[in-house]
Order: sequence, then C-alpha cells, then structure tokens
Amino acid sequence: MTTVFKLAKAGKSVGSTNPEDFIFHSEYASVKIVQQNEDEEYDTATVPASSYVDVTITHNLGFIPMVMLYTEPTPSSGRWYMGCAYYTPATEDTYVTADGDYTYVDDTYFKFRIYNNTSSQKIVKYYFYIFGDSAE
Amino acid sequence: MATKIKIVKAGKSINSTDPRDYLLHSDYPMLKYHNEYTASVTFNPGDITKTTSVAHNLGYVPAFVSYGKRSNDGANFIIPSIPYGIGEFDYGESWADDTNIYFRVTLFTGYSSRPAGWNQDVYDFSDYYSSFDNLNDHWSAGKTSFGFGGAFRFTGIALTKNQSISAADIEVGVTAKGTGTGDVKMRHYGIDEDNTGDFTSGPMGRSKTTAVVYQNHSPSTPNYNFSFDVKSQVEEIIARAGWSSGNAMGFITEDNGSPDNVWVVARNSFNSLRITKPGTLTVNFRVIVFKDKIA
Repeated sequence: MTTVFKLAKAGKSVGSTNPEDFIFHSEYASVKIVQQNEDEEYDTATVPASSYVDVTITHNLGFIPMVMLYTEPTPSSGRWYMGCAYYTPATEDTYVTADGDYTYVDDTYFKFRIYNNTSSQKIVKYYFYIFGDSAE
Repeated sequence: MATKIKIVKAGKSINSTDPRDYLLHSDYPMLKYHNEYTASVTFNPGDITKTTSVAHNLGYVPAFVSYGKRSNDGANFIIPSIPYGIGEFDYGESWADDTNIYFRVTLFTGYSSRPAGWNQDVYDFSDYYSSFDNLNDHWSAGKTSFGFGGAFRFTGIALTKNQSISAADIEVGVTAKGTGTGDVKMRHYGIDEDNTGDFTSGPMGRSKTTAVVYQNHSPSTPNYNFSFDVKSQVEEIIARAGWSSGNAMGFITEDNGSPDNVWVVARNSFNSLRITKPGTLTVNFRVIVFKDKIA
C-alpha cells in the first residue's frame, strides 16, 4: 500500500479527490522555490537613460528551471508587473524585453534585459523566483 | 543540526541534491496561495482602453499570476502574453500594488496616426475634389465671390448591405481658410452610387443621396480638424440594391450660403471616414494571488 501524505485546507475533507482542497498532497508535486532575492527583499538594476541593462542571475541548477520575474518598471510607482513584453506599457518608464536573445533561462543562468525609454537613468526594482522544477 | 522535512518522489533517493526529486523539501519554500479573483471589462463602440481592478487586501505587493480569458474558446492565458494579450489586435497588462491587482486592455488600433476603437473603422480618403477650380488635388467648401464645394471618396468600405451602424462622420484636416468672417455653410450629401468611381472625372454632378446634413462651421486658424455627420448618407448608400462590402463610397459637399471669402480648404492633410458599429466586447480576467511578498 502506498503511503500518501496530505494536508487538507480548513473545512475540506482529507478524503477529497479535488486537488484544490489540499495545501499539500504527496501525489501532486509542488512547485519549490530554490532561489529568490536574498533575504526575500527586492533587488535593483540601474538602467542608463535611453538604453538598457542586462541582469544575470546565476542558479547553477544544471537544468532549465521555471522562473518568475516581477518588476516595478516606473521607479517608486508602486506598480509591479509580472514577466516581460515586447512593448512599453504606455504609462511606464521601462520594460523587460521578451526578446529571447536577451531574456531567457538556461541550465546555469536566468538573464533578462530592461530597456529604458526615458531620457533619464532609472533604478528598477525586481523580484524573482527560480523553482526547483524543470521548464523543459 | 537543522531538522528537515523531505518527501521524495517514488524511485528517488532521500539524499538527492536535485530539487526536482522532491515532492516537498523544507529547504525549498513554496508559494502560498492567498486567493483567486475574477474581473471583466466591457468595450462599447469606440472604446480603446479599459482598466479594472480587484482588491487583494494584503497591504503589500504580493506575487501573482494574471490571466485573460478568451471569449471565443474560454481559454485562459497568462498576461502579458507575447506579443499581445487578448487577441491578435490588442494587448493586455496586469500589475499589482499593495492594495489591488489591476487589469488593462488596449485594443491595437493599427499603425495609423488616428486610432479607432472597438467596432469602429477609420478609412483614409482615396480621392478628394474641389469645385472651386475643378481639381482633384484638394477639398474645399465655402465662398469667395462665388460658392463652391468639394467631395471625398473612400474605398474598401467593410459594410454589408443594410448593416446596422451607430455613427459615421468625416474628419477634415483644414489647411487654409478665407479672410472673411462668419460660418462656412455647407450641405453634405452622399454620392448615390453602388461603387462610386475615382475623381479623375469630376464627381460634383453625380447623383446625390436624399439624405443631407446641413452644417454651419466657424473656421479656426489652420491647421485644425473638424468633422461632419454622414450616418444617414452612409445608411442610404449601403441600402442600395447594388451595394456590397468592399465597395467605394463618396460624399459631396455644397455651399449653402456662406458669406463672401469664408471658406476652408483641405490639401495634403489627413481626411478620414469613421464608421462605428453597434455591439460590445467583454474581456474577462482571472488572477491567482499568493501571500508571498515581493515589495
């Protein structure tokens, strides 16, 4: 008999067959965070005026992991976006390009490029998650 | 020595250093589910951008994943999707602050300098004409010592026979005006033909619609734009027995008693026909919010 480890949500039955009813269920693998910003505090990247900066995060996992990235494209705006795009949102100063030559993950690094479409330097906050689960 | 909790996948070693081998490992935290929210926006004809939000009530910026939901097949897709969001003609954005998750959809209006909104088409003119000097290199209306008018032609009109429209107007890019005072007084007709030809031959004598719109327009200092309503003229043209989608349509403007030297001219300017059709577009969103703080 297979041993199953389950943690059901409050008010849900441990005998439920609905995966959404569980905080953890050993039959369903969970997405594990193996790396995020140090001390769980966002980092910053300085983007020169009308230019870009490349950010490189080394993970050394030896496989291509799933990743998530959040940025505050306009410094001190309080608006945080997930992911990357091919365009600058109309109200924002910078954006993370979706161009796969510059924003990608491989078995060693997570890299992304931030473009600055303004004529002044911007210090962009970012927060990332690298998961211990393969994206391949 | 730190105590660890590990649940390893079947067939994998409990001592593995590969995080992929674990169902649970206390060295690797997991995103903690907070809640799921849905929202929607509705585009009315002419709308270009719509924004909505939901409150997450966390008091800090959380990790989140936002989705748009396609109306044709119900599929959810992550925002931002690449290159655009909701369909091939528009894009979606989503962002978080310490109180809300926001969604915004902007319809892709093409690379024209004059955007069109939902259920709205803008056509650049293909021909214009001035009866002042009977030339097809500008449009005009008003009076010097004699009254004169002009005409526009637009091609490829995507309206089926008797299709319902909610508005239609022509925007004129005025590049010169007369020195007189008072209003340019005009009568605007449609050209009552199924597929009116180009203006290499003068259009002013072509059959006119019974629908006519009168307009008194006070000229400003050029360059500027003004517009006039042609909804009833368009409806009459597309009601013709021989009308079919993709045909060309034209409009004739005649002087209606302007004072001396009160006139306007459009030359080398944008002149467009804007047609708005009824109907709405609803875009649905979904967001999963985690309790994990990112800022």
